[in-house]
Amino acid sequence: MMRRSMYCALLGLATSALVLAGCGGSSPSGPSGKGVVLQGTVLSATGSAGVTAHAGGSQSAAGKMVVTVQENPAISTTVSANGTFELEGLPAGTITLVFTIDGTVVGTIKIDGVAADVEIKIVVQVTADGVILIEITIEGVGGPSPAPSPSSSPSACLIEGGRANSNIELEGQVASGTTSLFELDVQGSRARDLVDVNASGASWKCVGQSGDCKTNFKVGNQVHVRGLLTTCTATEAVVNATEVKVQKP
Amino acid sequence: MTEGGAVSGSRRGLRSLGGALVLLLAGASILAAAPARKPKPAPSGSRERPDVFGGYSFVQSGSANLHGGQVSASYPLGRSLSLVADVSGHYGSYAGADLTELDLLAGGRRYWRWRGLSPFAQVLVGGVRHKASAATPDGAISSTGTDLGVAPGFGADYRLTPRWAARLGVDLRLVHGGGWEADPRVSAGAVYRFGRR
Repeated sequence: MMRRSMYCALLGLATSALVLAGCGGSSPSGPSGKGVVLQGTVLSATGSAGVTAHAGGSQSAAGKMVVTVQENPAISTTVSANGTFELEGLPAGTITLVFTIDGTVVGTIKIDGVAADVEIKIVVQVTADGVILIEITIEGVGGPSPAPSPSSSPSACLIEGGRANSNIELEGQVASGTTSLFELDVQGSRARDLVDVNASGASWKCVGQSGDCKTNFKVGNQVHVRGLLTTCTATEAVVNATEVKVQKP
Repeated sequence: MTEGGAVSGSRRGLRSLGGALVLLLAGASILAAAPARKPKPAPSGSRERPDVFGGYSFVQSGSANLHGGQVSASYPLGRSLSLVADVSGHYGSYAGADLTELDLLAGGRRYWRWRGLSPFAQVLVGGVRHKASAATPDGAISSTGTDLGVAPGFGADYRLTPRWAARLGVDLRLVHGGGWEADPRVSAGAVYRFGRR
């Protein structure tokens, strides 16, 4: 009798351990039948002004982060304390993820050209300027395939969150060119390549420095550009600047 | 499945709830079974002894399954109560990011004993430190944070020799990061007991 009790107890322990080990989690059971499945990890920008560390770390100071699909707001989930989240049953086509903390939108990520029944994996970073896509992988039913967007789709914009014929603000270093036309190395990971800036009609401002910064303009200057994104593909982006601010060196 | 995300969120909650229920039921059955059977009388002066445990550990942290190791030590306060200090580290990747977690927990453990089996129930409280990192063209970026953790759980030691035992334990790590979330944790390994009865 005693021995049977002992075996029952051990069996109970083992069963519960197995059930717990098997329940939920990131086990890639395959996207088929679940619609589009999206798994993500949110990183916070440590030290960024205005953004309290809230993902990949403590969210207690800023409240829970929620991810909602703009095309179907009924689809939403809460980001875990370690920054991970998962969404199932997403629509094919365009998916716009809206990140909110306590109801306040902190950024969006748009993914175009998503096929049905694929599994998307993304890593995003929350900064003071919004949510930046760091990495995206899309796996189809037939196995891994290149991500259609925004990293490798011919129709995608090489600037994260950028859209042709829309206003944009960029910050970065001048890689080459003149005050009329220069190439901008955008700060962080927001752009996958240099951005062409047509500044021939822009107003120039010098921030935190004396003298004519336009005359002293040179490669390596830190600038803030505001203007219209006229062209944006996976390989080329052109901004017609209305304002160029040259930061203090 | 037009409300997949909502379903996803609620499914995860249901899975956690289901896991928690299984855990609680199994624990209750074990703990209820122990006193129901008349235990073999412990030798006079018998009491728990200090022990150290080391072994494998698994945790379902948020949406990620993480693997790692766990070390804990207990010091008896009486015949069946012990103080416990518990350190565990878990590692893994999720959606392209590398995740690391370090748990530093302490609390109390209650033992029961019959024959070679010593079931126990425990509650641990402490900190759970998360780190998530990802590689970018400009170098790796990462973020870290520490949250409050409370881990009620149970397990059992099966005596192999007078000093060595095998342990299987499960607990539900409740992490407070803006709200409470439940992360099941499972561990298995070896226990070494110090001293004499």
